[in-house]
Amino acid sequence: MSQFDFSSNLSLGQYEPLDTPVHRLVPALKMLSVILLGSAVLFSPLFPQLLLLFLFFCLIGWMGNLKIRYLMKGIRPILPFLLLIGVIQIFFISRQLEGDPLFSVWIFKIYREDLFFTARLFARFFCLVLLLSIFTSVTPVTEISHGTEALLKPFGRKQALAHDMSLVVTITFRFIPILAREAEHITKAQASRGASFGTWNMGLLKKIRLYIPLIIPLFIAALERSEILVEAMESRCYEAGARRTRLDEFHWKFADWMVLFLIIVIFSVLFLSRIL
Amino acid sequence: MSNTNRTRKIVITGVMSAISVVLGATHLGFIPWFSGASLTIMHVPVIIGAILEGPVVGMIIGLIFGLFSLLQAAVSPTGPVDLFFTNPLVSVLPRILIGLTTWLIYRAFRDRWLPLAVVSAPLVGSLTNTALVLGALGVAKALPWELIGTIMIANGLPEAGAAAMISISVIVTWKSIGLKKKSKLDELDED
Repeated sequence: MSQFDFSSNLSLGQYEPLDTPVHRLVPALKMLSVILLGSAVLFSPLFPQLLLLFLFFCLIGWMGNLKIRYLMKGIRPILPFLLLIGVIQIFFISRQLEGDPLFSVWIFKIYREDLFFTARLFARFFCLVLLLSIFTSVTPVTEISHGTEALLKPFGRKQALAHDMSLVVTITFRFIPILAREAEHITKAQASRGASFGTWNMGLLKKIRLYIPLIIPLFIAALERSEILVEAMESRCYEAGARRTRLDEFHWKFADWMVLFLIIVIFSVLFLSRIL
Repeated sequence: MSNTNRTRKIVITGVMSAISVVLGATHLGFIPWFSGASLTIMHVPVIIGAILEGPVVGMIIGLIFGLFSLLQAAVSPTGPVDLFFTNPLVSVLPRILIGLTTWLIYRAFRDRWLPLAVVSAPLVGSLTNTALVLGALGVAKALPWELIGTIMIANGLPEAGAAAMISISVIVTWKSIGLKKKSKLDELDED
């Protein structure tokens, strides 16, 4: 029956409830750091910037009491694919190359630029995997909606945009398990009426046709639920765009300002090293 | 904009984003296909959101969908292409534009001939997704251009067809349920 078990198979990173300096940071700062460091990873060259960033992320992970091996374990199943990508990158993508090939085997030639490009690609990927895994490990869902509101505050003309977006994020997270369960129910309902899920040995066309009675009820059920939610919110006098307060307030402490300063310094140094 | 409308926009944005996350995370959003690579229908919520509630809703759903696919590519990658989906130019930007193009096409034809609008908008939206994602992969030098052309034809067109079929069924069903007082789509469903 495991193939019906959608809600337990959701793979979106795992929050680690610990109490470390990294966990205690203000949510808006965590999100801002991910945005800044993530974009720094995307424009940094391989050496030494990406290497230093990787070590810096390892340091953050260590401060957050997280095991680096655990954070990187998501990569393991795709390692063979990565090898394949490496081969494609080195041999099949033509670039404008200067100079002679480094060495050649039969009709294959290996160029320096190709090797560098591939290495940089992988280094960026590993850095981002580490960064985002740390982020999902130290940030619970409620903090993400807080952070969204705080980060968007400067952009909202009447403060409403920031609140609307944080409500959207909250609803999204709240509905993910509900809809996963809904999908599970629909699959089971169809299976009990004779749809052959689970026995996937059949023609492709038949397989494709199986999807229609799964997906469309899922959408309709979701839209019905959202209509009910709108009514429930209205009947409790929810007013979009009104000013409202929060149950939990996050206050910026001295350590948060220090971290913000540090992140901005790192970002600017990396940025300047790129353009100068 | 009345307040009910605004509340509905917020809720639909949240719920549709949740669907696209669920479709991605449970692998329900991948339909097996002849070419070996699966068709994806994870962008259907963006199309439906854009048609039902307008361009801003569509673009925000696209943004959340894109961010989640970026996060998922990094945290629990499943295939070789996930390597490139950690780049926001591949995973986020094209998805934001789906909502915009879908809505533009829908608005262009809505007043002239509604069935055409309902059919063409999802097709264009889905093709936007395929073309821009593959284009971004090409610009990022992830895949050779010849391969991208092949994927576009082998996967992009059936993907657009599948996405359009699902969006049309959902929109026609939803609009004719009659939760809104007056539905222009009622005449579509009289068979």
